[in-house]
Amino acid sequence: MNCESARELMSAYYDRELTPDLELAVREHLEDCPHCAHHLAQFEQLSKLATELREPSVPADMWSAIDSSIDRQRLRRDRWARAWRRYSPAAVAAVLLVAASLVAFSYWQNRHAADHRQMAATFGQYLERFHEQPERAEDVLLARYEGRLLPPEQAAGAAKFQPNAPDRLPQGFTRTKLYVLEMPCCTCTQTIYQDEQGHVLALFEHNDQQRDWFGDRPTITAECHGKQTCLVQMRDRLAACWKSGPRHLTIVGARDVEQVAELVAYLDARAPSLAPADSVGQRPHL
Amino acid sequence: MLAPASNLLEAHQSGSRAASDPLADVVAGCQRGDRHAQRLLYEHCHERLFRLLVRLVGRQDAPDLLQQVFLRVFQKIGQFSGRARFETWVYRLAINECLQFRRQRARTFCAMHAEEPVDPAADHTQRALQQELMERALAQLAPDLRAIFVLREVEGLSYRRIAETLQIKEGTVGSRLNQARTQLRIHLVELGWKPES
Repeated sequence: MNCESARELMSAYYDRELTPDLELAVREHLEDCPHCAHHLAQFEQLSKLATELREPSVPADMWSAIDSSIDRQRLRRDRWARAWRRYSPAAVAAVLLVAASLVAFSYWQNRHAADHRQMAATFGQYLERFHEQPERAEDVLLARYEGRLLPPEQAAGAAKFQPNAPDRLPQGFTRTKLYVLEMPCCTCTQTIYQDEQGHVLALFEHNDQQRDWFGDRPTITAECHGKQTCLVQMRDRLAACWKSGPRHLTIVGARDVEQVAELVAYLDARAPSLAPADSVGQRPHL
Repeated sequence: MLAPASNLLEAHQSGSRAASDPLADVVAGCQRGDRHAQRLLYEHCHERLFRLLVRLVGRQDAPDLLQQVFLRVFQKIGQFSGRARFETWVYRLAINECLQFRRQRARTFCAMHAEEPVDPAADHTQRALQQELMERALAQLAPDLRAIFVLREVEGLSYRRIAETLQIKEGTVGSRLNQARTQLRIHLVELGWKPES
């Protein structure tokens, strides 16, 4: 055995933790090597110093300090346990309620978003059809939203509000049909007008603003007859939305902004007021 | 139901309880939260634990740490499964508390030992000076080396028990002790210790 191996095993040799074979090998090395023997002797001196270390005395009041701490810990634990027993049913109920609300909200949000995507897609198809075949465009919406053709006097009962839907519009447009549509966003009325040349205008009346209908089509906001109006480009025609009295109106098929302004003025003049007189079945003043 | 404290103590001292660990009944009592058993356990190990803590963190902080260690022991004793010896488990817990304490006070730890209060009543004989040298040199050792040296030289644990306590391989104990002894000797010489030729 060389010095390096002997030094590696020195502690285990000194502490009598080696196997008999290794112990013998180290002992034989130590007999021939004064350096390693000196190293081992220093271990003995360290042990002697370690055993002579002053024996520390534990403070006399140590147990009573620990005892008091245990009491304090138990008191705290009992207090928590009591509070838990008292409030845990309410806490569990609150957590469940919050979790159920989150699930419901998430479901509603997903459903709402899906409905809106679907509406934008359907309305997009409607606008395309309006460009190609304006007199049949309403079929797209009727098929999708359970459209019902109703005489104007029955529309209020079905739509839960009194539509404006005048018999005539400026520039020779005459009302031809009135539908009530059950859309995911709302119940709305769709009134179709036609002039002698066969041009078609569609007037939608609904309780809330429905910009989602137009998806990501280019939109600008302009003032038409003093009213903030949202204008949507649809090939060679315009759609326009604005608030008129208690409702939001959407017109589809206007030729230009001047026609929109004229329609805004005409329909606003016939809109029911925001006052309580807007009850079902009551006709607006004309 | 735990036997009266005096009976338990007698049983423990006479070794008439479970052969694997004479503390088994006391430990079981502590696991049920019995205050007599906790007191017995304290009586059984507080001196050794205090000695270990003094060597590991110094006289100044050892009392607070001893209190903390016992509270932790009583808190965690339910986790003691009996696979290891109870004393090994307690030593391990105490050393972990020391290491955690040291980490929390890492910045002041070295200074802490240097600022140990001087006992005015202490004598200044050769033996007393050597004791002081040893304490200072120990304080300069890295915590893991200090722990292994103290467990062997002060507490007299076998390599196997040291390995269980520090959760290291038994084969590593010898080499770590070599390092601890070599570095301790260097620190002692730096502090003015003159080894016998």
